[in-house]
Amino acid sequence: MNYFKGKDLELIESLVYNPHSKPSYDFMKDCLIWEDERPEGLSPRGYENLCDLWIVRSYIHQGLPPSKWGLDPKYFQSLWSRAIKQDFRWSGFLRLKLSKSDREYYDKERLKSLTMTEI
Amino acid sequence: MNGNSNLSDLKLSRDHFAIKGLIDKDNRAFMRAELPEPGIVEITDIFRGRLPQGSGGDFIAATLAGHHAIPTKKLIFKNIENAATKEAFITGIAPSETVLGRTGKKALEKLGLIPANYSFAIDRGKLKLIIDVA
Repeated sequence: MNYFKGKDLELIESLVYNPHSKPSYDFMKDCLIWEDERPEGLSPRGYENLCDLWIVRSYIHQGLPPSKWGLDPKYFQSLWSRAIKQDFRWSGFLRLKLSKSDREYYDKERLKSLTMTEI
Repeated sequence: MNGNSNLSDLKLSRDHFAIKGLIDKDNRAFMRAELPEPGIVEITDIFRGRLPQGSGGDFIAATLAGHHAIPTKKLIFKNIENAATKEAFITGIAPSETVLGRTGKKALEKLGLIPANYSFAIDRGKLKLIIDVA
């Protein structure tokens, strides 16, 4: 079964990669997101699938093995495998490895998130 | 860029499936929510950007009020992977004592609503924090 389909797939593949874009830290999902990775108009299911990609990519950024991917590693392993198998174009796949400055930003924001009392 | 941004610069937008709040000239401030049923709001994203720390609840409340999307039944935070929140779930700390629980409470109170009950649930491998409204 395809990971994205129909209009959602069109929207994801219409994104244009911007190598100069800077990430934002997402407190809820504990991940980095770049502006060129989020299209307007995804269906709720499509958006959740996109969130799942960001989440798995964050495990990769953290250097976690698949057996430690979240509360349900099998769920995340399965969706990542489906997404890779479908081989669609998504800007986010070009950022599986962080630059030095993005790594510093991610580590700093993750650390800050542990001591926050409110967003 | 230095200095805090301000909620008076709130911009509202929406697509077929979601409502959004953005802050003018602060491209790191963003919130998005879905409205699966009347009275139920699911927050999918909240980025405070350069808004002052502690203003996340105000950002949520202002965005929801601007869209007339009042969570009269439930306010839900979806897709939670935050380490401290997962730790709270695993160790049995009350959801109301988490950062997202407090942020949700503040948003609801700002909208004149009273949080009645807080709970965690797992949905598609991820944590949800659900606040029932009195």
